[in-house]
Amino acid sequence: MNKTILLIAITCLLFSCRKERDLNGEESTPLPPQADTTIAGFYVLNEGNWNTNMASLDYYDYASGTYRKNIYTQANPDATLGLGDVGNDICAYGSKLYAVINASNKIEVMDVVTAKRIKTIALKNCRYITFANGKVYASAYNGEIALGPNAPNGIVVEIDTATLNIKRTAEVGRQPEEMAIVGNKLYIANSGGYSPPDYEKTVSVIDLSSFKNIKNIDVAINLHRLKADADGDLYVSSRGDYYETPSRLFVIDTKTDAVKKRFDIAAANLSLAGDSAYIIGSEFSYKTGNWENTYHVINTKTETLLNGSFIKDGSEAALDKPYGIIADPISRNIYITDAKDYVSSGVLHGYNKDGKKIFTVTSGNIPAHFAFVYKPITQ
Amino acid sequence: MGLSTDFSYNKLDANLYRFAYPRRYSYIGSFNNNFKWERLTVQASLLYCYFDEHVKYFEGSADRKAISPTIAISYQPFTSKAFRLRSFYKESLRMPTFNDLYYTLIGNTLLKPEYTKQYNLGFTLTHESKYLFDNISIQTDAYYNQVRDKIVAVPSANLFRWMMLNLGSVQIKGIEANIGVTKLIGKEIAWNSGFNYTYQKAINKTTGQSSYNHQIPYMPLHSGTAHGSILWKALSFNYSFMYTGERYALPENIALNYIQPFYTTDLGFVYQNNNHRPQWKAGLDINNLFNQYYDVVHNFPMPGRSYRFSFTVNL
Repeated sequence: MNKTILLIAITCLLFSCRKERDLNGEESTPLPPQADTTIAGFYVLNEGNWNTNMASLDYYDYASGTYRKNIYTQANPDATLGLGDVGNDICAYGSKLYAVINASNKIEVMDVVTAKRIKTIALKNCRYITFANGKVYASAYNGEIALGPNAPNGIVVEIDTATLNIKRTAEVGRQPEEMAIVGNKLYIANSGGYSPPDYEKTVSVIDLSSFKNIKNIDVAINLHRLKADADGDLYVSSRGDYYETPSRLFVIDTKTDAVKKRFDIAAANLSLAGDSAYIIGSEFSYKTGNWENTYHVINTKTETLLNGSFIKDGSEAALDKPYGIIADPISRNIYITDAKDYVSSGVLHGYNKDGKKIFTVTSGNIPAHFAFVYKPITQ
Repeated sequence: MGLSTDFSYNKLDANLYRFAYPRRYSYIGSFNNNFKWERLTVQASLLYCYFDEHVKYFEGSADRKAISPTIAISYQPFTSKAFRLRSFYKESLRMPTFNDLYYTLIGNTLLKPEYTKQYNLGFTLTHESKYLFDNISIQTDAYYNQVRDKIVAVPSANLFRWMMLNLGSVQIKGIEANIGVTKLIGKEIAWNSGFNYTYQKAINKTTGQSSYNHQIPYMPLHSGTAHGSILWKALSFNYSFMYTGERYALPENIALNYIQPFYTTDLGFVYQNNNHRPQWKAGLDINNLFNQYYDVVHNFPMPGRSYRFSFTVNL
């Protein structure tokens, strides 16, 4: 009948309207090259908005100055639906690259050069990653992504870098975040962020020989960042409660395992290089409804807050939501990501050691975490 | 002529930490009038809203008031009643809900209401004939909408704190067409079909954003449906086809946010025995006949081809 022919015709017409989604959408942008040092470049992990499954990986190559976007999907065409949902942390260690994909409950282990998948390690609500002495350590909330007082205690796991299996697990506080290793101890910041106002207040200490939680250091509520400086001091940030208690930065002496100093500055993220800690404060207040961005430097030798912003040319006005930061320990360049409104493409800004902007490049959605790649790559 | 007033009181209590305990007093007054001539109908109304808001803790939403007019015209240009022109202009205000405003760790209290202006022009045509179809009806509308401070939810710095945002300015231009036909073939076969096509260009017009002039998320430019059914004695056959054009998952119209167009074809067969007791009905549905992969929400795959058998007996 005529109608059947018509319908077949419409179907064929519409069939031809469908083009394949361009999953191999790798784009390259030329940027200024950087001085040839032992650092070959760095990876940028874009978190991707929660529930959109849009985590993606970019790479900035120092020698050529090329910024390559969205390289994971091209390196791994067989990985169904890409890298996953919410890339929460990344590190390069030995010949491997480890990306923590929070809402996909996995650690994606890739080849550090090609970004090809080697293995995925299942870890529920995994958060951050660090490494030492041939082992990789990851923190995990170990429960569903859901607010409420019934969330279990978090864990830290030890991963063998040869077999890529979880060898040992230690229980820590609720919703643990960043970690650092000093000597034979692993320090991990507990947040308790799923059950306000009942936040956690401690840094847990794990003895790496027994892999047991040997003590908890009282610091402040809702801890998040934790970085170790060259002298074995820890810089730990508290998110505050977004109302009365503002974000703060604390220093823990690992010789005494006690808080020795507090800086009354907002610390959303920080990076340590040499004797400097570069701190971005991007703080939201429910009282004023405004975001306030700050760019502080602390001398970690003298433990003093230096005057003024580390961005010196006034270009910080272009930053909307500064989110990720890393300082190159050799060149002292500083790289900051801007998450914008969390739904648009983010931006990566590069600054030289004098605090002058050297480039700006569009990245993926919510650029956040960095991993330097050192050369020559040693096993 | 009519005048009506409404008063409503909303309150929301919760045992949540940091809850604001909002109360809202809404005063709404509406005045409307109809004018009717032989071929022309005009409806005009004026709506006055006043929202008075109180909270126990923290800052509440500011009090809001608005006067929004609506005018609608329907006109029959020819002597035949088969063809009518329609047009309306409407202003409206949508207050953010208590959920939008006050759920701690989700809402902020700084949301503005969403204002919409709608312009619409369309016609309806119904026609009975003896030749191709027994009955054909066509409805077509063209519209232009301006939305200010569109309310949307976006995740914030960490996933415990989604934020409600006002999106600035959105401009929507659209055309919608519906055609319905029915035909009796011989004495025993009844056929009816319907087609719908929508063109909607919904553009973000907020200056300074990277998605300025981009189609807003999850809004296809082209979409349409077609359905048909044939009834012969106790047997009926249904066909339905749905097309959703390309869309973007996030505000920027870039490759990463691209969602493929999709079209699903569903078939249904029903045999119904009405003449003998007990009455029974047997059916077979085939959904997504061509087993096409598609996402309605980005990265949430929908089922492929599926079958459903049904059998119903009325005792």
